[in-house]
Amino acid sequence: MAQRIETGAEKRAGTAWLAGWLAWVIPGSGYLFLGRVGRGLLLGVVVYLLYAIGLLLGGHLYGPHNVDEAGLLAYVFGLCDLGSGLLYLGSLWGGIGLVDQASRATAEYGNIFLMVAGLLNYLLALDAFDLGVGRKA
Amino acid sequence: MKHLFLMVAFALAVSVVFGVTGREEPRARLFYGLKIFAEFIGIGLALGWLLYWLPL
Repeated sequence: MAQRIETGAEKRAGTAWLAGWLAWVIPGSGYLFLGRVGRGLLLGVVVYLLYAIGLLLGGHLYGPHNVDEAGLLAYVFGLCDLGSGLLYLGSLWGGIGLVDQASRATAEYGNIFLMVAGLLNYLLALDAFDLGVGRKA
Repeated sequence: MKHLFLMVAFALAVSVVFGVTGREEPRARLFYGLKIFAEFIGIGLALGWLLYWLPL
């Protein structure tokens, strides 16, 4: 039976995939996994801050739970929100940020902050993958 | 005033992420981040004034 030997490039690809997934699930953690502590803390804090400010401003999370209210856009916006990984899933599970507070003047700002937190975290996940695979220094 | 503060906070957050991920050298990161920040604020203010004059 032939034994498969893992090459350096395969190991690096495995590390990169893990870093990318980790970065999505817990913002900033992908960089920490790669040993880029400063980058992970700075960029992770930015995502957490955007998310927290979004909730404080009265923003709410989109997803399958509010298709009746927002229509198909709930899926599009929900996909943006989903970028925050466990923050989003934990909020859904805990019932945080599910109520539309349209009467608040800053509610729309809050929605945008929440969505951009997710979109930036997608970017960070891709960045962590690139670092892991060696495309970036 | 709160709206302006939120715009600045948003611009700052996005420009930090773009600055760090978009360039490799520390100096290039700083200038790229500052450029994006200035663009966000400048375009935001310009659009704000444009909308102010439009009878919407």
